[in-house]
Amino acid sequence: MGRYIAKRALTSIITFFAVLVLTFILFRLLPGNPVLLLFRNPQLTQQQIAQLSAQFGLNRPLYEQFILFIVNVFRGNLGLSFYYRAPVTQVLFPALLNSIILILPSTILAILIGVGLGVISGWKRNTLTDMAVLSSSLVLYAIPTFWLGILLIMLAVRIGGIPVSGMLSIGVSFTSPTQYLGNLLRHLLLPMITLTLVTLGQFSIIMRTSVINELTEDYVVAAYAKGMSESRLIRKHVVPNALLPTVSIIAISIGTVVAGAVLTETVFSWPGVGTLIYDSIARRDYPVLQGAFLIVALSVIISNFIADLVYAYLDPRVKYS
Amino acid sequence: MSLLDIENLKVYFATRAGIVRAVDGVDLNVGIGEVLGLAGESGSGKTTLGYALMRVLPRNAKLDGRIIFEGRDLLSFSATEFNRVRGREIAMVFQGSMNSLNPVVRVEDQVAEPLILHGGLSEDEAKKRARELLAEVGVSEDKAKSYPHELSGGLKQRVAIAMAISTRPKLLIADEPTTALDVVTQAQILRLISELRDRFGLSVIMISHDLSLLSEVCDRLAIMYAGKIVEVGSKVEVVNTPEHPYTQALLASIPSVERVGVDSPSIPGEPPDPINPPSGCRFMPRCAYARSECKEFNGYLYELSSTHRAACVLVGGKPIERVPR
Repeated sequence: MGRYIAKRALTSIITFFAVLVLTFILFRLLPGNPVLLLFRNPQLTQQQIAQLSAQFGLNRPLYEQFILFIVNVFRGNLGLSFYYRAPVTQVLFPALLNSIILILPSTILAILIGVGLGVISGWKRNTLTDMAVLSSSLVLYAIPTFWLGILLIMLAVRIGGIPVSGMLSIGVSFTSPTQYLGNLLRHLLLPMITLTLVTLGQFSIIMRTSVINELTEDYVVAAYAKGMSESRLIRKHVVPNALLPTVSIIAISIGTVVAGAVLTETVFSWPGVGTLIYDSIARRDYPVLQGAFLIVALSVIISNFIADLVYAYLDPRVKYS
Repeated sequence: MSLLDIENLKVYFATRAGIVRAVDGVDLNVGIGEVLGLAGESGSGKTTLGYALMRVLPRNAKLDGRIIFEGRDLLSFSATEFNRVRGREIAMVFQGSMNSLNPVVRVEDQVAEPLILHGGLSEDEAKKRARELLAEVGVSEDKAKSYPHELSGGLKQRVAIAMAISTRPKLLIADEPTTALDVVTQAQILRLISELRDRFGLSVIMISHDLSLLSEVCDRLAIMYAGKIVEVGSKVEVVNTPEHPYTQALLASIPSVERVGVDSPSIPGEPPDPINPPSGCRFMPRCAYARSECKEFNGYLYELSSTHRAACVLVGGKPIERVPR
């Protein structure tokens, strides 16, 4: 087991390294001189530009810049934000925390509800229930995130009392932690519902297909022949097997969840990585974008690593070596 | 006394192409402690018959007729009521048992499951009993905690049998219990089934296409063709004095070590389309003795002795020519 984890971890590290290389190349390919972008002053003389380039190490050969970049990443130095004039890490980490507050519960809810619906749909395939679940899953899968967000905002405004923007009420001083938490949770409601809904559709479709596949397996008939109810058959035999392919696909789709979060955060002005990416694109704040990309890539790598561990736990056929 | 009486059993499947008459009016009985062999080509409906007895048919299946088990009409049972019969009084070992084990559950837990479902045993008691059962069928204690993929085909087959007999059923349906096993393992499995019959008075329906295998372990043989029983009788009657031309052809087609180099005669033609079976005798298009009366034949089983019956117009008093063997 230890060896298996070590092996998977090594693969993840190699993948992360590849991401670093790609990020480095990608941002060197972008148009514009970083120094000019950083200072935005048309009166800079050639000499000043050269001096600043030297200061930032931009006059050194590319491979030296690359090594410096890698070393800095591992030191936790992601550069300076053009816009905030502050270290990228200082800009990124509060946003990351806010994103986690939104993405984690939404993803867990989407997995639970999506997988649950998929099981029911696959079990009752070709019935009215199945058609209802399948078609609503497809609609949710296809629906544009921002559109659903706007729809919910309109609904919330009608009802009233539900905050539609930001993470906390502005200009309110909180007297107790519970009050703070309550305010945060009310702000979380709409973005969480949006992100959960747009994510769960794909999970339920995957799980439905997986359940239907498993139901054709011989062991299902053999288990049923022991004289158990259909619900026990589904719970004890079909679901544990149907989860296997679903786990891998969910891990891969975490990337799209993060992308969905960008849209959700933008619509609801949630101060997370998504909003930061959106704003930084408008501001051409390349260092922040570079850091944010690394974070997104890292989240996909980590979720795949977790999926590998879950898979090994669920499937005894995975060899721990 | 008979344990199971099947009367005019029909299993029809509604498909897009039409109604598939997989089992079409079967009468059959199994006595207590008897091993009945059910033979026939692929697609003759023998597995479907087994599935019908277990009521594990797909949703598009329609069942008709009567299945009397210990005086109770099983087809009148509701789905919930039948859960108390399925796996407890009637159990089945499925074709390709390599695949009939759940890949992510330890084998002892799979054997213990029916005991928890029907025996009212706690999980620990059931597991203990499961290990005993596994030992009885020749799966050693240290293998009990294995997952199916860690076992050989023969061992998996034994686990499947242990799973089926764990609740001491009265009737065991064994569908091709030895296919895909080597000859030595095959013999061991057959011996195991015979032993279980001797020790517990278990009745067995053994489904196979292999007549020589069936004639080794069975008391009686039933031959199935295109959803109907064409001949039934004691093993000696069916093997030594087959009356139906299909049985004769089937017996003649068994390859033998003594006839190396000589091709065994195969039966010409194809089994009939189960959606549009020929009227009259279904074997007629392939039969060497076909005559005009065959078109009107209703599939009636003529009584040849108190145990031997065959569904052919040529029997029923009239002697028929033997196929040279």
